[in-house]
Amino acid sequence: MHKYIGKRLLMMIPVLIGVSFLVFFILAVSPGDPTRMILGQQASEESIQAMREELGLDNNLFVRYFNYMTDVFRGDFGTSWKTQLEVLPQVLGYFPNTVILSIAGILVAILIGVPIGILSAKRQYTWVDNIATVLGLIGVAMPNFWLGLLLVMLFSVNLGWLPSSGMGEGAALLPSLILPALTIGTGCAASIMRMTRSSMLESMRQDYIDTARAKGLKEGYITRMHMFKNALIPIVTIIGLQFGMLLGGAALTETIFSWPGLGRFMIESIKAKDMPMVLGSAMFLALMYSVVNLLVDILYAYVDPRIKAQYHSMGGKKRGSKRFEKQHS
Amino acid sequence: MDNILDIKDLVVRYETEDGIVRAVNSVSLELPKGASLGLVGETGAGKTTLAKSVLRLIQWPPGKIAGGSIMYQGEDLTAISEDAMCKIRGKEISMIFQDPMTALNPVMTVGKQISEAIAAHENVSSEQADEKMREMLTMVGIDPERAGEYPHQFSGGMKQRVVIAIALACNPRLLIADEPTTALDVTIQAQVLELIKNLRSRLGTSMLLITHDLGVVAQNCEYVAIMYAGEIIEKGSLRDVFKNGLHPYTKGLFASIPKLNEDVDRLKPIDGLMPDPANLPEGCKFHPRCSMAKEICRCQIPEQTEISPGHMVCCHCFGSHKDAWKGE
Repeated sequence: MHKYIGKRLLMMIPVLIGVSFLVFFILAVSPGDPTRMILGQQASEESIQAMREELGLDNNLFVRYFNYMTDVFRGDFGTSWKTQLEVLPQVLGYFPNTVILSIAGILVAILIGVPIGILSAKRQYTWVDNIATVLGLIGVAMPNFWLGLLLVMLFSVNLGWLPSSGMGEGAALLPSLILPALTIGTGCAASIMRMTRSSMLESMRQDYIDTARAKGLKEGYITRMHMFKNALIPIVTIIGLQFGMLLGGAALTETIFSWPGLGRFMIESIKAKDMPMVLGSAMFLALMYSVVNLLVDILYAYVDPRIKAQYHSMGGKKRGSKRFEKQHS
Repeated sequence: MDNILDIKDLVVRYETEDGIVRAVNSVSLELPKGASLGLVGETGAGKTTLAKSVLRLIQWPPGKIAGGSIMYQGEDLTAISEDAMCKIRGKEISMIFQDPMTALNPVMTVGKQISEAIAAHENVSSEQADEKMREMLTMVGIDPERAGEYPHQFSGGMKQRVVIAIALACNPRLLIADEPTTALDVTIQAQVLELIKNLRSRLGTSMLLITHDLGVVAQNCEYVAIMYAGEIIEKGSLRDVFKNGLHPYTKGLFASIPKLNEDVDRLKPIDGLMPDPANLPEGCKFHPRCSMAKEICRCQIPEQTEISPGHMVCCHCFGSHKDAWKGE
């Protein structure tokens, strides 16, 4: 198990190098001169040239990338071109806010998605199932920002129950968290619900459910201990993927609700062509995404003892083969 | 004689989008207390459906018990509430399933799968249930130390032992064994059958043994019923059916077994295939494959005829239409 985790951690290094490379070159070739962004349109040619030299922009792209990466490996992510603040403390300062929002969002999604998914599988083809299916489709199809705006209109503007934007401190945190969490949670809830339903339907048909029934166990107990436990792997997978996406992709929701998270911060940095900030945030988010994926894979071992045995025996295998091996073990 | 199980005119159907599958058609079957009845038939004859319906494990949709009664010790199992049924399942009647590879929950320890059956029926603490579970494991020849392991760590034969331990955990009065040895290789088969036999003699359990292996029936059962296309076509004591089998299908089954003392080049199968239960033939279900079929077999369903006490046959050769059958 430890060997497996170590291997996976090492595999994150190429991922991060790849991400930094892509982001670096996309930013470098995108139009707009960062020095003009920093100094303003009226700046003189001399000052712009001086600035270019200071930022090292006259060098070849590959030299610049190499210089940047050497600094990164020394732990120096550079300073913002716009605010002259150090990148790492900034990113670390915004990230917890994104984590708070993501956790709240995924909790909302799990609390809505899993129970409705189970219910809809248990009552397959009845009106309960049909309503859940329609709601799920609406949830997936509805753009997040639109739902966010609707919620703001209802709860903040018309009813005045909850704040429309910002992140409250202390006791005010919870009310300010509700609307953005609901907004990002509902979209995820729909996919979690669909996955729970299909996974439950699959495990309900297995022979061991007959065995469990023949023991005289109660239906509720069978649903929890036999059906749901066996349905967990795909559900955990989709929750992990959704959570990873929330960590990096909640930018839209964060913008609507003026939530001081990393996503919104990154969008602002992109607008300002603040390359060190964008690079730093992107690499940090990629790292977090990989960590979440690793956590999900470790969680598998606790959900399914067969996967645990696999981790032990080979010290690691790619995820795609797991379901296959599960069926053929 | 006292019957522990008395099935009368049981009808089970699966109502699918492609039509109604008539899996069990008007089956009557009785099992005397303490005895063991072998239910024999081809794959798809409805044996498993019959067994599952005794425990009401047929799931709706698509399956349902459409008629008849299942009397267990004077109580009609088709009429009682689900709660009452839960008290009977596992405690009074329990079942050994066909395929040990899939009959165990892969994410629950073997010990837990046995002890939850005990906890469901007996008012015991979890330590007591645990102790009973260990006893059961020892009884079926598995080291109780392995209780904390998962099914994937066990071999096929050991999984079947676990399934048996689950079925016998609460000392049921009736055991339904649905092809308990089909998925196992021959040496393990013998061990498992021996195990069931020993446990049965110790606990005095009655048994409904489902199989398509006539040899297994001969060694383990006192009574035999032959099932074809959802119907019992012949039933009686082991001797009645094995020595004096009358139905053409029964005869065909025995004729298809190679004899030790005869040198044969080819096996003698029964020609044709079992009819599709969604589209059963008119009249006697066996007539398309029957070498003795006459006109009457095509249009009229034969009724049960008692040849000697307890020996019933469903064939026009022996029924009230005997003369009509002969006359043509």
